[in-house]
Amino acid sequence: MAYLTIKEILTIPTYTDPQTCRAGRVVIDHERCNGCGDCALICPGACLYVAGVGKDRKAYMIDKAVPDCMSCNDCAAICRRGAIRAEHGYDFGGFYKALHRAELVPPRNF
Amino acid sequence: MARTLTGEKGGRKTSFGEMYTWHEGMDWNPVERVILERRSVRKYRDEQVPEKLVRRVLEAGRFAPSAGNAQPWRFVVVRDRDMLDEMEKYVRLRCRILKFMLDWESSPLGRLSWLLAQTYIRLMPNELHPIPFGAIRLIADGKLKLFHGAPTVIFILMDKRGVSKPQVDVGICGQNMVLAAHSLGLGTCWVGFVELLKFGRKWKKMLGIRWPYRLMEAIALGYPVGQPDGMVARELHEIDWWEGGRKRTVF
Repeated sequence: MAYLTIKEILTIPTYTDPQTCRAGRVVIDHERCNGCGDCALICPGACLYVAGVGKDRKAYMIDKAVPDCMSCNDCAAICRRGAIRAEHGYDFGGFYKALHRAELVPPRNF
Repeated sequence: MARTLTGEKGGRKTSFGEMYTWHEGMDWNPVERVILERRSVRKYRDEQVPEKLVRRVLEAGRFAPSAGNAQPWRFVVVRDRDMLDEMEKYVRLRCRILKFMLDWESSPLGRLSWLLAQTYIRLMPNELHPIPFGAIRLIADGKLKLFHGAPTVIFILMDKRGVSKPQVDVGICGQNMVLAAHSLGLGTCWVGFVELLKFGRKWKKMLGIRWPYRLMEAIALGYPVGQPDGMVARELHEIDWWEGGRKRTVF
């Protein structure tokens, strides 16, 4: 896999530009989510919130071009119903381009 | 010989693989379990951790490996709620100043803040990486807490005169304590933002931050709310594997 080009090394990405920066992202299974709010409580990036009343109370990811999600998956760990998980890691491009990474996989007991 | 270990976590009984042996596909042994299930805990119960338990966690740090057995660390334990709140307030103030100077989206300095940010990001690419940059904004806005309500915080100071790479030694020492704490039923969170306390004369004096010591990290310690620990998915990393004169790539 490639390393960084000279141009990439010299480019500081604009942190709020979704064209160059890919933040982490979580997917929420609204069938399973019961809106308990544990994930929103502990999210270090303040990316999650709960909305709705009664049965429609669900967790959502905030609507921001580049959210502060770092796909730490702490939300997935605390969720009692297995309703949330990070979809991909973050990659800010340019000088901060992620290197030598592949998809998210749980621990493997070789 | 084949003894099965059991433990209880969150009211559920679990069994572990054996210690000090391996066969393919075996269950996680207790050490692996603690390593793999450790998550940063960001919501703590009000209950104070017993003094003896904190002392026990600190013992795990004392026996960490370090280059040349230099042990380049010093611990400061703070269990004073008012003091921790005040520290949090101070760090938030510092973050607000940084946000004012560097956050080009909200700063009244306008284009100047963009230029400042571009300059400082190049000078401090680690401290101002997009993730901590976002965290500065969140702390300034009060959306991210510093100690997350932990009743005990262990500050780790590094002796700058340590052998070779004292930063690494301090990290190993901290991880020892973190893993010990989780295995004892506690929750922890690394707090790097405490480094901003070095700008406060009061904190420098109270935490003993002066040459040859540098405040590196803090570990928040307490009983977690809910069950934050658990195994999750993480990125695979590309690994180069040289064997038999040839290189292959594994993940």
